[in-house]
Amino acid sequence: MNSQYRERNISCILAAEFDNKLGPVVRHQYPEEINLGSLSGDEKFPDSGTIFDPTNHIANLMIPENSERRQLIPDFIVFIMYLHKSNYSYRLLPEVYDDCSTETTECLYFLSIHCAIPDEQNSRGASIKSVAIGTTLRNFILFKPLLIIFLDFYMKRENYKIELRILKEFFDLLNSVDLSLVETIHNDIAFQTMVHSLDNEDIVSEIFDNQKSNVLKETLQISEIPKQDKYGNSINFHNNFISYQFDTFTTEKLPPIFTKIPLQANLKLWSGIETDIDYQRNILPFLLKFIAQLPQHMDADDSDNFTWKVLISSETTKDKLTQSLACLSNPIPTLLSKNGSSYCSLIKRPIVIVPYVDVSMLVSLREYIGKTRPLLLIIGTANPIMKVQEDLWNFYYDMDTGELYSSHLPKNKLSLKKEWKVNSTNIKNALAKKPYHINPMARGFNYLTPGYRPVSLMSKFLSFLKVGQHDNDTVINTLKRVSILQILRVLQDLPHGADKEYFIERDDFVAAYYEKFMDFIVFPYFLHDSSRKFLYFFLSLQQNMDDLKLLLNDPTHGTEKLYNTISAVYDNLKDILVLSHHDKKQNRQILANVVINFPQLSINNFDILEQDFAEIDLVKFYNDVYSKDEMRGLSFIDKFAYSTAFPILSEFISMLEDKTKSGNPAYLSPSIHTSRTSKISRSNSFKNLLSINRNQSVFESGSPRIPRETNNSFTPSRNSISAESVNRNNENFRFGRSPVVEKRIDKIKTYIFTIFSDIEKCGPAGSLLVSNYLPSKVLSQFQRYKSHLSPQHTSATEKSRNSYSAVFLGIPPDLPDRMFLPTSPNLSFTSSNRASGDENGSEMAQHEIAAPIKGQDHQSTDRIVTARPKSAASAVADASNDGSTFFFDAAE
Amino acid sequence: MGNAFSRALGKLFGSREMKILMLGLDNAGKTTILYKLKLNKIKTSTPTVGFNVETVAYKNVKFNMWDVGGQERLRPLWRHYFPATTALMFVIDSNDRQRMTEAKEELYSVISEKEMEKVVLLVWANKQDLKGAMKPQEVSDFLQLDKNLKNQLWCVIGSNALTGQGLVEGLSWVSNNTAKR
Repeated sequence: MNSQYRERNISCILAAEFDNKLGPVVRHQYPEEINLGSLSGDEKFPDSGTIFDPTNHIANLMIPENSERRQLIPDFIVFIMYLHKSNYSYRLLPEVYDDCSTETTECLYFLSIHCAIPDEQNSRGASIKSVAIGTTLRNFILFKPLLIIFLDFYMKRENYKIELRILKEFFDLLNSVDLSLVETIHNDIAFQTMVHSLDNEDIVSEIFDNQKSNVLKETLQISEIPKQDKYGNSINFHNNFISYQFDTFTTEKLPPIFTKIPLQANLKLWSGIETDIDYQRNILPFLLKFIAQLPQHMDADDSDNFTWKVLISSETTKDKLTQSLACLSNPIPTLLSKNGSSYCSLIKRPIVIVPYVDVSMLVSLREYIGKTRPLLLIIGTANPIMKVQEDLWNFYYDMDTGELYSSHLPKNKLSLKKEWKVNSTNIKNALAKKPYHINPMARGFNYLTPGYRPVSLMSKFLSFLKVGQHDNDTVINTLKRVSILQILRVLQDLPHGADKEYFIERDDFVAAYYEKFMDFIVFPYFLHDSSRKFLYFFLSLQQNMDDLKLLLNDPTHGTEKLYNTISAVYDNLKDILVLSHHDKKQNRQILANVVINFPQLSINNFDILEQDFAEIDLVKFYNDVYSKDEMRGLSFIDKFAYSTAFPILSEFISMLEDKTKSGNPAYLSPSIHTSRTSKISRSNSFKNLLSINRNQSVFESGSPRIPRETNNSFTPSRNSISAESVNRNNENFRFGRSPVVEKRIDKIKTYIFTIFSDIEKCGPAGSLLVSNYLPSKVLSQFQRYKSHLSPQHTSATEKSRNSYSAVFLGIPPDLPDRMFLPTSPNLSFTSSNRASGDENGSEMAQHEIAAPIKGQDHQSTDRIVTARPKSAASAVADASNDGSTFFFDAAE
Repeated sequence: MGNAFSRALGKLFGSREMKILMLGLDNAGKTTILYKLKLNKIKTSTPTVGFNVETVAYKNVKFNMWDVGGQERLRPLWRHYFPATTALMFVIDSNDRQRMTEAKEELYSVISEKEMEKVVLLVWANKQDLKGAMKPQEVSDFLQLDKNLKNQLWCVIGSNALTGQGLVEGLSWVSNNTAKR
């Protein structure tokens, strides 16, 4: 695209109409310099001004089939044109290169509006006209209201020159505002990912409220929210919308009303194209059917040499159809980026989505399929004749009836009703349960005999989401959590240990994932190496916390077991912190995103890989899980989508009772039931743990709970400390004084607070997350913790840094770039090879070590290592020189 | 259940379903014929962008009738509608003598396609109500179908879509001449 148009909101404008003799024709293109394939602008009918378009594709898209039926009711159509660098022209189908990349980054989105109006002057009684704008903006639907008004005005103009003048004026009008601010916010992927993940509307509204928060200012890196754009047009914020007034534009041919209608842009934009259709009705039914069909076709697909063709048909409105197709490149999250382009790892093919195809494009489409490498080609159409063109589809989905046809199962019409019946609990299904039979003689998509298909968790939730009223964010967030549960399930199956094999490369992980879950709903964000690690750590943390709760309820447990479980919690938190402080900016954002999306894990009572969820009453299941009064008003989906990482982190803090120490803040106050965490059912048995921390032995707190003899069965494990050292401390447990446990609990609290602090620093919205998601009492403890670490206080305590560091050995929030973490000498993400030191902390030797984080910069990891006593203050000073330098406390 | 029952009845009493393709130059009256047959109404005259498809039941036959726009740039697209066609109904504006040759060329262009060589051809000489309209026999002579279509069943029937004259006869002829197909 020519550079002079790059900064324009719209790059070009087109006008088309139905010529009674010729059919659809494009009459105007402005500016003509943009090369729209065959619409070069230099071949014109001299008289009519009609641009000669041999293929007529664009004209047929702008005046689509059946547009004559839209009498006085405009309809929209979305199409995309990709820049072909070979001749610098835009075409409707992208080039796909050997590395699977497409030209998706260089494309123009066209929003076209068409309408028919009765016209006595017209020999056929009606005029059909269309106007389209081409733009690089992914939120092009913001132009819809103005396009509607403009088409109405344009249709009444008969003179060719006047038509062109008002088109130019409209083009200038739309370009007279500066939308760069909106673009900046849209392009902040971390910000958008976070905003779309938030299930708390209060936080979202606060984020976009410039009076209440500075999030937008910080995101835009400006000191004041501007009241005008750079051209002098006034702008206003309202919720997550920004509206632009056309103050500086003076109309000539257009009526002044055009400058009175503000341009409203949504500041929330998921990666992809903004649409205004709802996923629930338009996307989920397709996904539900398609996913149900995938496994058998995946089994049969032993060839990489053909293009998967999915044809989606609807005869309702082109707006609904084409936006639905555009949606498929959005969060539905089929799309995994490879080389910057859409790629479906499930079937190992680049994805090309063509929102609308009519019969005029069939020849080009066949040629394209023939000469392009194998793709996943998803095509929208409104013409049922396409169903007869069986070489153009492997799957044909009728959006209007919900029926999915497979080209190799022509007789098996899979209606939604039938699908539901298959999944229902009637006895016929039980009898019908049988695996698929694959005809070994068939080729490609083998002929398959459909039998009973177990219902996956994803399918189950798609079914739930399909009914009821759910907004797009709820739909996406629910699917996101199911996807995370599935990622966690895969992580659990992978070998793991000290060598960290479970953190395999992303592509390998994706392959492993798809071996187990063929639903192709994957959110690429959570496949990131760091995301997977955080997810795994939180999974482990949740499990260890559950174990801890069980232990505290179990009077027969051993002291070592309790200590080891506490140690395991400690290790999990340390792993989270180490990762968070590596590549801080990115990983803190990822940490925050994982925290706000981490799902409730009680579903893991089932094996989500093997379980057939057809007969599982998940509504009842989650109602039982969330039996608290506070959650009763919430729907089942809301309960499921409830994120639990903040509660997990807060839990440990909440369960501790006040402990007032001289010289230390009373940050151990209990807050088990507060605004958010109170919604999670949890065991009051944590109080048992308090007895440890309150210098009351768990053995003293009630009847004899743990016979001391049971301690003899201690076996060193991943999170173990030496049996000897524990046994040495049993006296302290017994008599209510366990410095080891107390210190470890202190450190756990410190780590948790440090994690909160990291989340606060994840970006402009970080502190809002912490302040809104934390229970109030935990929040107040966290704030006291922070104030305790304020520079004044730090200075006051400088002298006693060594001993102090044993308690606050986390990263002080005022030292954001420093790594000051206790970890093990061999410093991997877990502490399987933990160095066992003096558990009383008597040996305070500190070792300096670089962090050999797999897959990261190894240069820094080479510079290791001393093993010398070091004060915390000097350690911090050293750390400031190189962010990769770690310190650990051998007392751990 | 209802569908299965009617299908069973259809088999019992010889019910059939066939795809009919209705082509012709623009403004020949294709859409008017379609909706006269379907609804017995005259639909507001607007040019067809793309296609219309309706199912018309006549006696024991279901005609899935595809009416495709006849404008110059839409004619190359007709061939995409050829697959699985049983009968071609070609509509001619009998009053538009100037474009009769153009209509003839388009007709031969269609029936010379391999996919269409076995279809039965019904030509509706439409707009017989207009004074200057060519009679069905004139149209037939002009098209020279007897000379050029030796191996294909064809028929020219005069019609007036506004009144419905000749439409049922056309359907009846198609029905009768595709019975064994």
